[in-house]
Amino acid sequence: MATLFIFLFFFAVGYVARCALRPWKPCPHCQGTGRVASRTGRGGHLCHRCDATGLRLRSGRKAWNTYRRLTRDA
Amino acid sequence: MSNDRHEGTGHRPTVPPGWLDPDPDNRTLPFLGRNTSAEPVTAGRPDTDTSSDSPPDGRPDAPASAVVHLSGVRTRRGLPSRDSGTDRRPGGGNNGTTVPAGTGTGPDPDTGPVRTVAGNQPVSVSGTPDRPGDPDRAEGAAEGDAPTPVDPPGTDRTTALDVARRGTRRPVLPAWLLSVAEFRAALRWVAGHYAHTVAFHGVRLPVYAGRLALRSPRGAWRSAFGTVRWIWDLEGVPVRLAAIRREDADTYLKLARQRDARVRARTAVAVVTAVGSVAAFGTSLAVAPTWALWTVGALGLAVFGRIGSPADRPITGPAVVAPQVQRLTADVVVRALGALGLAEINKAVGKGQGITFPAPITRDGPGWRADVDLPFGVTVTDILDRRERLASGLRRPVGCVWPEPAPDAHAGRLVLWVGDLDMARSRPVSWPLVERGTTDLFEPVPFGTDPRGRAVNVPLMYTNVLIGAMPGAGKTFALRVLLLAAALDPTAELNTFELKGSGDLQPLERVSHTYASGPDDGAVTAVMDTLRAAVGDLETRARTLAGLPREVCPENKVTPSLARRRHLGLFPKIIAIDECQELFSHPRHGREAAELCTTIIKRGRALGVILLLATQRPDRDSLPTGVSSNVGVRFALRVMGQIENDMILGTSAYRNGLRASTFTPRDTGIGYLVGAGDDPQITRTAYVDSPTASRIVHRARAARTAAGTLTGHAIGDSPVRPGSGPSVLDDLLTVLPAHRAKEWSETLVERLAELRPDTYTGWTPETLAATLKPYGIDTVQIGRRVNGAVVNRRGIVRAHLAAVAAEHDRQRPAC
Repeated sequence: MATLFIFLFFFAVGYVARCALRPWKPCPHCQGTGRVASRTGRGGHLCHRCDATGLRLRSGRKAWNTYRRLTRDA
Repeated sequence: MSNDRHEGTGHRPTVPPGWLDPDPDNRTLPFLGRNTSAEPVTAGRPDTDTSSDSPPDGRPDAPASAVVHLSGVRTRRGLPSRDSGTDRRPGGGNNGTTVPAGTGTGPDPDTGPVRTVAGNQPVSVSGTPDRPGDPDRAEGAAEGDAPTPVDPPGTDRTTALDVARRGTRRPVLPAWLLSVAEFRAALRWVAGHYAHTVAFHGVRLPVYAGRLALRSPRGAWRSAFGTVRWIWDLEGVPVRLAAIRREDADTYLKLARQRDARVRARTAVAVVTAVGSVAAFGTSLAVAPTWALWTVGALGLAVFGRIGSPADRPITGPAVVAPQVQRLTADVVVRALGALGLAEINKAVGKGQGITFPAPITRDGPGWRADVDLPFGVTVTDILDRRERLASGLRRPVGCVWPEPAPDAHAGRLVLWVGDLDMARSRPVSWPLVERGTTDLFEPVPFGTDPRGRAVNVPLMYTNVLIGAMPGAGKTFALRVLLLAAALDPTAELNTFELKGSGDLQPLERVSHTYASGPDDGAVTAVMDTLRAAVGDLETRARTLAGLPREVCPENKVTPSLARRRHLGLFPKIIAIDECQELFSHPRHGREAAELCTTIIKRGRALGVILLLATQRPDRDSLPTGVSSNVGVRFALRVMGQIENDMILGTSAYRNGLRASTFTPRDTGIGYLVGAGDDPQITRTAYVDSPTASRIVHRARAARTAAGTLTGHAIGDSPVRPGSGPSVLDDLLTVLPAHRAKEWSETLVERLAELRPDTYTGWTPETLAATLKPYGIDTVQIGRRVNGAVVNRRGIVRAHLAAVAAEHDRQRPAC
């Protein structure tokens, strides 16, 4: 149990550090390419989730932004 | 309801044109004094001087008193007016150009002015074309009321040249470029200023160095951190964070790319610079001399110290602390005028109008000058009464606040000069003749300064001077300045009398032809003798002048060239009487003295006899009317009341705003000077104390000795009184100028006869030799080349004469 907690703690610290230093992750929908292949294999389209940038904000950073927005003025 | 024509500045027939026209398009331009519209603005006004009347902001400033409320107003209310939409303040639209013919119509205070005359006469008072169908006119016609125009129809065309003709010409060159003295003073000031600054900082150099050294670590840290910031583009961090906050991946990508590029380039630059610096440092350690290394080190220290200084704590302090001068603003002036307790001003100020400024408030000398147009009906003299209140309203010391009437404008134009420093407290300007220089009485002599620090000169020739004040106001000092100036003209003969016995004029004894001091009869008798002799001398002088050819004496008065020819006896003769009230109120001599002085004042002017009078009790008994009304130059220091003021400065001076009673006890030496310039001016007498006066007199005496004009009392001669014979030795010294070592007896005898005809007429060289024998003076052989041939005659050596005369003086009992 204690091991689990220690593991969770280090995991949390690592995730926070990740969110602080590298706020962006590759878009899971397009695997960071910005483009989504069609099912038929021909053509395809730009990824809507990341607006074709291939980058998405990590959930932790998003949560942090929301928290800031809610607690701070303006 | 009284006619509003009589409001305002008496000579104008209408209220100022700035008010007359509510139409903004037709409004006169302030300052320019002409209207720019094609259509004549208002009712014909003979006087188009709008520059002084129209308020600077062009608002129609109409006092309430200018409003004419008449019956018939209501009849037009609500009718469409062509002036609708203009600024409608109560009374603002009154045109003041119509008077009612009967109880008819009048201008509507709400709807603006009526320019045309109501009624059936189609008379335009304004030059505006009659408009058929004008509702106002129709209304008036319906009522049958006919206001008659009061202003003559006329044009108000004013050209730029007309404006220029009324204006004053500013001097082409500033005063400091025209006067050598002022230029020198300005130059001296500038040099002194920079010398002081250099000395101030020079002394503090070690302090500055220490400060720089102490602050340099911080500067080094700042520089290092700044470099890091620059290399890693830390200033872009907030922008990138903002992009993250907005989840704007696209912008973030762009910013990140930009950052990468920057960091790459800047790192390269930094590396190159660092390597270069290290290399240079290493080489210079090996090559450069030690002093150069120290210099570079010191420079680096200075640079880091400078960078490490907090913004609010500079390395160096100011060498000169400028006095904090409160700006004089229009608001302050209006507030102060409103605090005077003058009902008219308060009424106008309460409405937020009435006090206007015809010219911007400017710096003028060491102070501010505001030209103020007071509300209608208020005169400058009303303000002068309340100088102290004005000072309180301006929040300045009384000595800073100098309200004056504008000499050539209307009675409501106030020139308010507010000095930075109290005039009585500011350092008096030293008299320009203290150290060197002589005067020429035919030119105005330096006397003092005006509140703005400019030199004030007083003419002495062809005029007389009256100085009056309360005891202790600086009267005798003022007189002494004039007398010192006169003493420095070697040709002038000084007769100095001081009837108080205080000895304030004592220094002048050594250059005075006659001198008496004391409150006793002896001094008065001496004055009387001199005055009688002077009146007698007037006859002589007049005869001399009359006998001169026209080309020598064109104006029948003494000229500089005539005054220089001493044998004519037309040299300037100064008779100064301090505390002259003692003379004029003398029980026995008073009446005669008054007559004599009046004669001298009236006739002596052109003949070079100048009377300087100073009194502390200027009333009818102690200052004869004939004297007080004929004097040219008057100087009134602090006096108690109106009567004294007017006795000195002339009748109605008080009413005209020249009020020496407004001076405070601290205003020593400050007074109104009338007659010296074009306009009366407040003048501060140059301060010359007694030791300085003695020094100046010493110089004057030297100049007189050199010119051979030292006479009378100054060389120990008793006053010329019946029964006491003048000394031959002194007379000889007089006629034998210092620059001639010796002179023929013949010549001397001639000159002696000129000097005192009744004593020496008929003397021969032999008489002279016989007279001088008892004194131990022998005549010597003097050879002179006359027309090529050497002529030998007997004569006298001045050195012998002077030695014997000095010995003789010592033995004589002191007077």
